[in-house]
Amino acid sequence: MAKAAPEPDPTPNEKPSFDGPPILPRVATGEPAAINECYDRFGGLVWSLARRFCANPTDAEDAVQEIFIDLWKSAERYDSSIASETTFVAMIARRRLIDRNRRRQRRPPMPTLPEQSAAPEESIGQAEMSEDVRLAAEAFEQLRPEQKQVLRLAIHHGCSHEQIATTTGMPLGTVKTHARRGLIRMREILRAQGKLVDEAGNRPGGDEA
Amino acid sequence: MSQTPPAGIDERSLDHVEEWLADRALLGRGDAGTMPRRFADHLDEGLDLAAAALDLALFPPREVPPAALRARVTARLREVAAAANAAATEPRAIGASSTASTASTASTASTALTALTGGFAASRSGSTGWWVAAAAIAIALLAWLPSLDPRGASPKVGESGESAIAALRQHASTKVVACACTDDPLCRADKVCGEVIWNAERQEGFLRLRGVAANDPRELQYQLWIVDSSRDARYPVDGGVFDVPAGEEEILVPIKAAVPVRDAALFAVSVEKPGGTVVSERRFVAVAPVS
Repeated sequence: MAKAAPEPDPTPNEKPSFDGPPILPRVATGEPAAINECYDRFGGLVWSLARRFCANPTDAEDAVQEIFIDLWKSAERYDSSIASETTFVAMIARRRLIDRNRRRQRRPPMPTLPEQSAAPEESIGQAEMSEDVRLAAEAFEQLRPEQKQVLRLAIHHGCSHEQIATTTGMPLGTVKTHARRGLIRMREILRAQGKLVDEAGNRPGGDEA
Repeated sequence: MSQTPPAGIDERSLDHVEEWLADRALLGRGDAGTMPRRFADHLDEGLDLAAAALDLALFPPREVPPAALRARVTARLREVAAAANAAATEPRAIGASSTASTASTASTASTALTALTGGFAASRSGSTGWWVAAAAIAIALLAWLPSLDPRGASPKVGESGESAIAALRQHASTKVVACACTDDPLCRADKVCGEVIWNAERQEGFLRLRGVAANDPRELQYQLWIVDSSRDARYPVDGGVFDVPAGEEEILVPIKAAVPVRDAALFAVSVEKPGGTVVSERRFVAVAPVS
């Protein structure tokens, strides 16, 4: 591999931004310059996820490193017709973080229970997010309140079904059903918007990916 | 289920698959259990991507990583990229033939290793500690491992591998170290499950492994790691991925380290996902400490 160009100074005080020309195809080919660009593009995203899942910053730094290695190895699987790069990177990151938490049997402290029909806790920075993320926010608002409650606890806090059942007082089976149906509904809405395709490459409207 | 099942799967099975996929997206693969292979064509990432998009939508990333992290991550990625480029290095099992395990006592070095892994999982403040501690514990295992003569008799293996080993043994600097079985059920040998023959000057070596279960390469593969005490202990050297074919009680694996190994302190065999990994899951089946 050719020697990488000298690294430019990082820009630690800038807000994370994920827009820009496609980078993952270049990562997939092993292009050296893509390493720095990939980190600059997605470092904030991955770090933010890692801080949420990890107990301390040291843990989060290790997780970020593992995630970028996973990303380096998985980049060739990325298909721009299925999802945005941002969503793909977040998927890779979530998998690693969930797996780390499982292995360590140490989940973040249980959160205080949000209001059942609460709106997203933070405003959505639509200008900086991908189209499929914006649509996901809209799709979420179309879910039933119970589904939203369960998914919020599962996704944000990495709570198990059992933890959610304990927190909400819902029967375990109900929690599982809400989680599954809510997520499937999310996928259907995203597919209907042409932002996700199924395993056969088909969109609900019948157009090929 | 509002969706019409795709061809090749009935509605009830589709429900089962969807439940599995939702568990995977929210809880991780391990909680999702196993899925029959006949459904493999239906395991797309739609729910994983939906969960990821929802995560970003509900909780927009706003944190800025520490400045020092950039250098650490990009440096590691360059190592990985370089190793990948250099890796026509994947070793293959060669010259294997059956031979019965001769060890007789049951027990294991791996009680210590298991405890060690658990300790890492519970405490952590850096992967450094694990490999350093692993090396220390592994070296301690030498107390009960029989010593091996570098020029001693070899177990019966295929001629091609054996002749290569014989040539390597002619060098005075060649080390032969015993390989200890851990508690992992994939290692069915008693205490000793093989040996490592390694010559640092020539950067050549072999792993001889006995009594380790055959693997399905579609599900898992074995990976050899080398802890080089001259390097950062957090990053053991990838010694390559290999398989144990069904019916082979003993295999011989040529060691082809991805990067030069200056001072090998420990060889370890782990179980990894197909294709191997650059960050080990630390499920070890065998360890060989170098005295």
